[in-house]
Amino acid sequence: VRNSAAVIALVLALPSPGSPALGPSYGGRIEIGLDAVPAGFVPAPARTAGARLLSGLVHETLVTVSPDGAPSPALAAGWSVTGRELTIGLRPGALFHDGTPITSADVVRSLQRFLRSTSPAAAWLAPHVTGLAAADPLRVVLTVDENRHGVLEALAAPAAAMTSARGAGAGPFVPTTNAPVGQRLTLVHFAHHVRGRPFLDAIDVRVGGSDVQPSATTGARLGTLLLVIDPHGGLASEDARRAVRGAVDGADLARNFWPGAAAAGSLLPPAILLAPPVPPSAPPARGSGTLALRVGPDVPVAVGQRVAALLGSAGFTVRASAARPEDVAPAGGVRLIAWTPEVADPLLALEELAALAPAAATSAVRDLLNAAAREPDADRRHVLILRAEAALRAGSILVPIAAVPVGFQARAGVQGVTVDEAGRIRLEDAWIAP
Amino acid sequence: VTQTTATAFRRRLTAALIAVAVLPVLLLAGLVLVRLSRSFERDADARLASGLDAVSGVLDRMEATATAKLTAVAEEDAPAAGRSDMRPLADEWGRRRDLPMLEIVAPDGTILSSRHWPAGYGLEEQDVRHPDAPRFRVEKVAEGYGAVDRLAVVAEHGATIGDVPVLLRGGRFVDESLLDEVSRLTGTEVGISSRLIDRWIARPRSPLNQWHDARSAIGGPLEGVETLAGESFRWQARPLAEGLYLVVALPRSSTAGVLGGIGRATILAALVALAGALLAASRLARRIAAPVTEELAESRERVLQAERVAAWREMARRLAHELKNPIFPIQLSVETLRRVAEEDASGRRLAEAFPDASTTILEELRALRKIVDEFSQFARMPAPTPAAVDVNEVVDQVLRLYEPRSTGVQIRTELAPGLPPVTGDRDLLSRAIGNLVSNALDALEGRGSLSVRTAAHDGGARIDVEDTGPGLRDEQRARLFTPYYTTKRGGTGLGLAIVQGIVSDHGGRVEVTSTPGRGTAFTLYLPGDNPRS
Repeated sequence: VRNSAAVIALVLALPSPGSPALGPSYGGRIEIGLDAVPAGFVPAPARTAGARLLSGLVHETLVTVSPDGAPSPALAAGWSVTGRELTIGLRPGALFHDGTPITSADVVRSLQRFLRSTSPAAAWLAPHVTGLAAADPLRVVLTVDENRHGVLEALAAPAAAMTSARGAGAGPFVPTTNAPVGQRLTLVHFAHHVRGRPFLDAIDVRVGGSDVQPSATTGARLGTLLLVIDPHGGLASEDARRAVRGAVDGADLARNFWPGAAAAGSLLPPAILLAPPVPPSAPPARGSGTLALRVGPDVPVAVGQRVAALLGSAGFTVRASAARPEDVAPAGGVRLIAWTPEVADPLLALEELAALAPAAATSAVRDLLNAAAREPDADRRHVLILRAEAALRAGSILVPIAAVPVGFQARAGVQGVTVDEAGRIRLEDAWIAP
Repeated sequence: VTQTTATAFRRRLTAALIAVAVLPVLLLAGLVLVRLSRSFERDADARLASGLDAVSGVLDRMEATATAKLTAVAEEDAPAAGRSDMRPLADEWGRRRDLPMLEIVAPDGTILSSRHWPAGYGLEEQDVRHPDAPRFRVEKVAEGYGAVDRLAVVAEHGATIGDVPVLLRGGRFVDESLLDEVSRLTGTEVGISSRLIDRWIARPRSPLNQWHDARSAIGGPLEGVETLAGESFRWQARPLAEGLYLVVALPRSSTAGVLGGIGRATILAALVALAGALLAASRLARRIAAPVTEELAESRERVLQAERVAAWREMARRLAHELKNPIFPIQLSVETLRRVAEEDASGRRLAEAFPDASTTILEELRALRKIVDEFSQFARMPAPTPAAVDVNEVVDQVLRLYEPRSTGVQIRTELAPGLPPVTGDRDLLSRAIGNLVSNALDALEGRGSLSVRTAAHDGGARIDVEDTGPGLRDEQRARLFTPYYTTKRGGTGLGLAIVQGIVSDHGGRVEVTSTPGRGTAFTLYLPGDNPRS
């Protein structure tokens, strides 16, 4: 099944020099198929799995978010928080792809670009930043208006990746050209990557997909299938939105149409926020009228068709079409998206989700999230986040359907492929087994 | 005359050849066009009907095939399946049996499995059918992220999967690719209009897709002509069910193109024929007209020669006659004198007979001289010597000359005062008028009247000489100016010929009117200037 960029074909192109039982070994190249790639390699918000994959191959951030939700050093060697100041220390000897060392000046320039970007994390952070300066060649000081949770986590966003003055990245693979040539793009290993040389020699990207059928599927529930309902027009009343929400059965979708998915009661995938079970809602109201359904790029076609069928069965006349990543819900209509948070942090993820709904509908949510950001106690912060999540669901504007895997398909023999909590497929640790 | 005749002959020949060459082409082409047009229409109707039959046959075969395949599914595939998970069965069986449309439906109408609309699993059927033709159903078919309505030819078959009774429904879609195939096969534009689908079912670029008000137009006459995308189409329809029509259409441009081509070819052929006719006429006229012209000229020459011979013979006959008349009295008088001289030696009787005989001889000799003089005058007519001539004066002189011969005849003159002079030869004109007066006096034979009038005419003069004599019959009048023709005893037949010759030499003309028993009138017209002489 080829469902947009959410499923990425990894195709073994060369025989492996080793066996999985013996552990990884260097060498070999693989081919991956992506529906589309960015026109360039400037760090930017990655809204699709393909964009996240390519960003993770080419770029590196100062920090990442570990599976337990805590920030983890990447290009940064470490950090310290003093009042409102966050001082980040860089790894000595770290290099960009163009061979230049990563300095505090590169960090300041890269973070300034990030704060000006359309990244949801940047949008959340930028209003609170009061200062950004290089203390010395290996230290940068970021000053915020108040000590709050999430500042360091926001720097894990793909758009916050570091680049050299000439635009070179620091990720595990180096693109051989600035853009695809024809329908192909080749990336070779970066021997000076901060976590060491990748096992693979090279990755060939074929734009438009691979013609080799993948033979294995793996993945984790790192995304959420969401209905984003525009609260205007025929869906202005909550009853009408409940009719939409009630028509789409997440359990049915997970069981019959999206292998690896599970019915979801929470807006955030369980890897980010373990939410308490949501009691079953009341029987759905009957819908009526014409409903525009825009289906996001990472949603399998069969899932989109099923949602359209369910809405049709509930009484709506559905006009379904594909949506681009940056599209919003059509006026009085519904957007069906497979959403993965930019940063695997519940607070930032809910901030990102809240941005999908009208501000008027989320003012209470933002109050709760602000309170959570200021809350130094982790348990109390967790409670506030759960309340914010519940509040965000309450208006039936953002409706979680299912927790879905950000999966990929690979030929047997490709080992060590991982997906981080932000849904980024990591190939720097992949190797080829026979 | 010969040149004029040849030109006329060429014109007539050219016209005849054009008529022979061009008119048949035009007539034939018109006939061919009309017949071809009708033939094309009949052929188009036949092709449309044939197209309808062919597509109907395809639909019938689709239903028969679907029935056979569903039977195989029900009897072979269904018994082998368990009831645990029916959802993938329709796709599996559909692929195996080559049924693009296959669904398994529970008795309550719930879709248990669908190949063409997997998203409908577990949902109530949302398809619709044409009630009076169950084999035609409008099925929901997955397309993009949603579903579209497609017409399908279906068959149904009951079956049991596990111990669950189900309905199998399968068939093939009547979609754009199928209609494209049958359109190519039949050479027509094939489409289907269904009241259950708000669009034409036709191949993508079919002009039928432009026919937006078809539903109201098709149902009535079931055939007609419609302009689609700027082109005229002839169409026929066949109802497949209530509100469901099979339509085939043919562009009329193909036949119009052929007819137009024939029309253009006709015009070209007509032009070629016209050019050929003109060329042929020119060459034929040259080949034909030249001998004809020569023959006409020869013929005319022969006539003229014959007339001359006849005239000479006539002249010889008259001359002989005229000469014979005086000769006989002369011979008789001489013989009388010799016989008297031989019988009377004294000479007394000779002396007595001599005066009478010599008088007779002299008179006859004068008659002979007169005859010779007239012939001599006619043969040696002098050329006119032009000068200004007072016509009234000439007329007056002539009348005075002939006054001694006019005893018993009343002579009336009406001479126009101030008559302009004419250009001519005074002596010749005097002779012409004198001949007319002489003839009139001869005709009057000493009784009746002679009127001579002059008048101005068209810048010249007109002279009327009219007698109240016996007049002329038509045949006499027709030959009046023929030389040597005469109605008078002892006449030479040259007098009027001389008159006509003189007047003609002066550029004038002679007219004669005559009524038997009432008289004859001659009119001379003389031009005022530029005499032809």
